[in-house]
Amino acid sequence: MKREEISEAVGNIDDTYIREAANYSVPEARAKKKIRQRWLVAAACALVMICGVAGAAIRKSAVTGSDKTAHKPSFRKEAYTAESMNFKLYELETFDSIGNVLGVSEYENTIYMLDETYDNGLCRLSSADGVTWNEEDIQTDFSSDGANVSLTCADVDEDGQVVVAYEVIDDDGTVKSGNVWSSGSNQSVEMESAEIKRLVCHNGKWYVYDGSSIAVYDENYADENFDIDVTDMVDFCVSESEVTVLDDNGITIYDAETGEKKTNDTTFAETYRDDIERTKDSFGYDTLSCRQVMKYAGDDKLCIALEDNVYVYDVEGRQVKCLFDADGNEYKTAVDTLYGYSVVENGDGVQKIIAVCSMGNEKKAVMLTAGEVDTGTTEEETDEITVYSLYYAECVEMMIDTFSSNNGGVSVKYTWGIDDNSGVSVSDAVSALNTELLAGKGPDVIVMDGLNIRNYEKAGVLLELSDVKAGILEDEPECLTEVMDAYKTDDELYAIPSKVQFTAVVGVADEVSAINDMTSLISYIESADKPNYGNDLNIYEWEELFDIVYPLYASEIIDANGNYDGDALLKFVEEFKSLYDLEMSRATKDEIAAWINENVRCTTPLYNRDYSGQSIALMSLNSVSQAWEFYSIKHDVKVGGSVENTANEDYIYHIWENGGEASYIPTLVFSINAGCENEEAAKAFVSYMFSTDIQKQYYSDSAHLRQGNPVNVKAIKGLNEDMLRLGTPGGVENVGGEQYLFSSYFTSDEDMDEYIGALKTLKSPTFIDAEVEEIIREQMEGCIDGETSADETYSAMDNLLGIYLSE
Amino acid sequence: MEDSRIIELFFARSEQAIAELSGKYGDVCQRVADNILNNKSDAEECVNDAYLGCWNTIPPAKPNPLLTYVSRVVRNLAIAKYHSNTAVKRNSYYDTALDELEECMPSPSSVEDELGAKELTSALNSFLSTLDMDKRVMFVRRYWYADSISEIAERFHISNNHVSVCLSRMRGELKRYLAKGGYII
Repeated sequence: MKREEISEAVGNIDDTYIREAANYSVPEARAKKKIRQRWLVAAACALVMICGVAGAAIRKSAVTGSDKTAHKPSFRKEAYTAESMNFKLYELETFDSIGNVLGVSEYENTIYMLDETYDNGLCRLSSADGVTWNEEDIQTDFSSDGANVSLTCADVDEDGQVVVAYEVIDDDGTVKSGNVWSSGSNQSVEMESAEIKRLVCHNGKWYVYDGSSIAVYDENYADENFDIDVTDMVDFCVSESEVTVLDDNGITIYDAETGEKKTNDTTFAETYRDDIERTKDSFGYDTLSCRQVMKYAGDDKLCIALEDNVYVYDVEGRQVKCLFDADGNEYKTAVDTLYGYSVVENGDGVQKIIAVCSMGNEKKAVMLTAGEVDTGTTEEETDEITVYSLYYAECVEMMIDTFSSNNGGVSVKYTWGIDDNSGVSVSDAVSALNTELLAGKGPDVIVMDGLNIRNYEKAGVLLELSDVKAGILEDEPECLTEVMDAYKTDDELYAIPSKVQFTAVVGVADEVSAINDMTSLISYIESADKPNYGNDLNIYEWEELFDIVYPLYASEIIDANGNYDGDALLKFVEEFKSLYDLEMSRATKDEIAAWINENVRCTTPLYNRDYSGQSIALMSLNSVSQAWEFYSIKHDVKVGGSVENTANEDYIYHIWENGGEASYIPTLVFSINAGCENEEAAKAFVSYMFSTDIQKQYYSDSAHLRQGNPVNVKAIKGLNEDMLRLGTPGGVENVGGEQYLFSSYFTSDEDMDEYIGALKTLKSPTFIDAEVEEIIREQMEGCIDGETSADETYSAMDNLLGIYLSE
Repeated sequence: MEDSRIIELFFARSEQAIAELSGKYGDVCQRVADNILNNKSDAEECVNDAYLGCWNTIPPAKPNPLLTYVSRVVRNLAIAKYHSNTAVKRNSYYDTALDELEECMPSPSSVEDELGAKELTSALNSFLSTLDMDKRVMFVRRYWYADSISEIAERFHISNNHVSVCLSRMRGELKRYLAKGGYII
């Protein structure tokens, strides 16, 4: 086959596998090489599987609907219906650190699992009850000479020594030799056959199956006593006097001393031929682990674990019982590969089986039994906290997900007051939250955006967070302390913003530096030439303009302490209406409809001023990507060209000022409920929101929760480094038949430093009360539509705000 | 950002889509291209071409999962570049991985018996379904992503030797699987 075809074939493998491989991460517990002792055993764990003492705390498996892989064929009822023993399956333990299972054995009332570790070592896990497992590394020397060694199977001999079969593999992947090593002698013996598929130790003998025969070696291990020819075997097991083989011909018993064939029963194979075939097919499911099918259960019974059921075969009477009902049995549904097992038998029959198997992508110890078991368990203790935001916001949910995946000990539940489908008003949602908080209940962490923080401070329902801030700064010293202190009063801090946004006028420095209020902005637009493309600000929906302009007035209308200024409200209504009407007068309705359909951002026409005639933008810089966009406009590089144009080199973003200081909106503001029961967990959550990892994430915009730039400026640098590792990521802006480069990173350190410097100038916070904003927004619509005058609109707002404030 | 949101940005023709795409999956793409081409600048070019490819094909395409889509685009571009660049020396991880896979293809008894690419894809999918997740991921990382042995070892927290042995055994299993499954007559 040609290389190109192999390449093509591999390239087209199923998407599921490609995604799985991309997202795969090794469980942390495996990296630490520890077995999770998750199940704390209740009561006495005297459940002994070999000698049969009972009682362990085990958890019943949630097997219904288990994620089974497609290779498992559906069950078909056999003509022969054996008696069912009504067994159930219970999960005992999940193993995180196991590589490949080489064998499952028992010795002196203890079950042993022999495991090849992920660093190619040998490990023995032992348990008396299947619930609590002890792990012990077994030192070997057979790979000390640097040989490429692959462990194939293992067993425990009558002295409790570990016996391991391994292959020495050549550099080209071919097997050079098959060997058996014993921990008792610490010596290896090279077998005649290079391949060793199955190894059983019994009564001082090794029984080695290589795919064509079972070779039996005596206690000197040097000479082969005899061999039994079997091909295409399912499995074999050994008792004091017999070697029993299960293959397509049925169950055949050989003399353990001589290898002579004693009896053969074809009934089992004929009855369960399909299940046997499926079992043989399953041998490759876990390429590197063992698959034990048959074991003795007492002197006269065989336990045979096939794919669809586990059978107990009476050697003398040649009768069969099934452990599970044929239909919907838990064993068939839940277990993917059964590596090995140990049988507890008390003379009356099989009482229970402890098995090691794979279920989905996990390796587990399970118990199969018809007996009653104590299902009492003690779950791992985790701290649970609740995070609340007034409006549902996907970004909060995503931040919680990120936190949860990195902080396993804390479980976080997200709640909110309003979502798109709830029909709950802001006042109802706030009222419900207040009732809870005042009752000493409510969420642990509160995203305060839209809530009147001062009211909550006065009510004493928030936790003082100075120590949280100090901890954050210790870990992340590059945070914008000015912004973090936006809500600081005297020496107390009850709310900390994690993001920040600001409004800026973008344009030529000489022109926009003088624009410091709405009057000067309106004057500038009125004096400017009408653009060739769009209107001056390239904003056509009044709601979009409201989102940018309202925050510029919000703190004047109602300040942080709840003081209301009616004149400021009237000023806002009049100036907002004037600005909107002015912008609409600069274009026809058809043009506006066309531009809305083009769905471009307000800054897009600045890429090609000659074409658009546009020279100004009013925008909220609410993410680092907005800054990237600004600098892309400033550098003005056409796609395919490497030389910057100079048309926009004088562009700046002039930050809107309030009282002569650069104003900003604190966003994603976190507080902690003073009545929080898991204070440490809540503080850990809030602190994590300021970490570089989470701060450099860009979360999707939410309609009612403003995003922002990181207050941790290290995240801006980190994000840029991430982007630069990609090469030169970005996109293309099409303006007036030209294509311009939009770089999704800072193309120079100077740009990044300038932007970080701008963030550090932010001094004057704007506080937004969601209820006030909702009242003003609702009343503004009539004014925009021309149904009410500015004065009438103001009066309506004034009345409603009066009611709200009096409450 | 969720894939669906990135797709929405592509549909809205927002350049932010590229930033989000590269932010989320850029590392994966870069590594795939790098492994195949063994040349940083060529790999970067491939990744950027892949972003442009996504920009040009979404819409109308609405890929789900997005990661697989963009990875495929990168891989296809990288392999096209690999084949077109006759000056490329056979020294990338991709070459080594292909060499390994070539070895485990059973020899057909006649030209008619030879497995076609489609049949092999089908056989590989079927074979992969029989492996547990660890082994499957290891196989795909080696032969699809063209990861080096040491990269895989690092990912799995296991030794290089262990990875080599695992892969060797899996190739052996694959060879037997292909022969037994009737993919080779």
